[in-house]
Amino acid sequence: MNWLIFALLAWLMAGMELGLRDALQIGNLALAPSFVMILLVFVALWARPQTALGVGLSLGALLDLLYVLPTQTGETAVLMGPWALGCTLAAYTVLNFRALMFRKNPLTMAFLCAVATAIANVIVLAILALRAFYDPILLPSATSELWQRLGTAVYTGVVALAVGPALQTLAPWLGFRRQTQLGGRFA
Amino acid sequence: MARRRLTPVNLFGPAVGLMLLLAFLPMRWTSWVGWFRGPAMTIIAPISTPLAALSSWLRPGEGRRGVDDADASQLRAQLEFYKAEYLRAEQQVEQLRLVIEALQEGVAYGPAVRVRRLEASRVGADLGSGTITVARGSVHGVSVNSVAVAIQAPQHLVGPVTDVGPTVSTIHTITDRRLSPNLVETLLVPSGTLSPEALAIAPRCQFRPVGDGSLAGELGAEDAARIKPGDSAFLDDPSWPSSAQRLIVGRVVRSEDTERPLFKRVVIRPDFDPMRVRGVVLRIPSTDPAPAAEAPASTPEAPR
Repeated sequence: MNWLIFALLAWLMAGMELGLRDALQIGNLALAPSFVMILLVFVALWARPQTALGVGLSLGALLDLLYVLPTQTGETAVLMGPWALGCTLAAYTVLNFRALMFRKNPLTMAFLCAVATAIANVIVLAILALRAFYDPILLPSATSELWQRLGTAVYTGVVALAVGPALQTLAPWLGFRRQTQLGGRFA
Repeated sequence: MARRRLTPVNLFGPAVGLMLLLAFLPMRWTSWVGWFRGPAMTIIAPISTPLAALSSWLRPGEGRRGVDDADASQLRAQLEFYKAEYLRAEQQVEQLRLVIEALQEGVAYGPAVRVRRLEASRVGADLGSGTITVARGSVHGVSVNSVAVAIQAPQHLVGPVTDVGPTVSTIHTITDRRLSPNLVETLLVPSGTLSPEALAIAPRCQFRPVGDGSLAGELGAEDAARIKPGDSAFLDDPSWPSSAQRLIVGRVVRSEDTERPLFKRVVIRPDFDPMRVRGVVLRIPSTDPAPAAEAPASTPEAPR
């Protein structure tokens, strides 16, 4: 994989995650697609297993730095780990699924984005809910949070239908030319 | 024994172990992690700022304000400015009276707090935590005691600054349920002409964010009878920084019955969606006695 192109794409997706997500928000709910997760799924779909897991860990760590958590003290805190672990597990799930699917089909990308985002969000929420017992994290209702996060997963899948083909065109620059052209060999 | 080479593949296991450890360690031992957010945001801000501007253009936060012509909008801004200035002056008179009393009794009093204003564009929003990030940080003098007001209406509170990085700051929006403390005490001031008599009997009410962009609080039925939709709720809460006092939290939307007949539930809503503002003006408290500290930094507050 071309790491320089990947870093540029990660930078762009992180910018979209932070700056553009609220334009796609549904109502007042925290329902909006995750662009970083779409990139993660795309890389996990085409890269070597070790690379995919490394990308999962690094993009997850990036999300940990992007998202802050309100605390009872009135300040916000940064937690490192929940998203890193969630995204690593999401990448591992995609690695397991990809051999069973037609990778070039946009629906595959959409389905895997929904599944991977759901897995990452469930892991994050589980860690936060556990930490809320001994840390001053404000987590009003884990149940309503779970539904919103699952909704986000579905929404990410829908948006991946549009973003996925755009990423597909960048595959040769990312170094996925052989894989994308000879899909059967690496499937 | 063969020496193991340090490769990314070999590092993956320890990295996952470290993340596992950090994910469960109590926050007091992992607070240093927050330092890394500053450099990360410095790198991401140049791309997310134009995207946030595009987002604000696609879904503007000021849509709730209604359609006014330019003159009406300007007059409304002037009215808000002078009303807030009057309320602040009235509060300042009260504070000076207390200072005089303290001086007469020989009690020491703290230095006067001035407010420095600094314009900042929105870098992005975190929907999950109800915060927005703006492109000004500690290098620009922002501190956690600062508060943000909407750039389109400098009398409207957006929220307190809860985290300050080198080049960016995080603002917790006033409408988020996890705002702490989440009870906001306000003075409900009638719309239209403001007289000292009307101000003297203006009801006070504590509001709590509901989660749908509004804030709600209970008010005695007698006081509730004096308010009407459109009245402004000005922050008057000692638990908030002095730079936030007498800023507009929202406008009364409706007053509804509760299970208790002696109380009414009053709902207020900010004129803007604080999550979608194009930019903010940061009100930074400063004890610097230099006259320059009082001067507006980037934005003149008074509408012309």
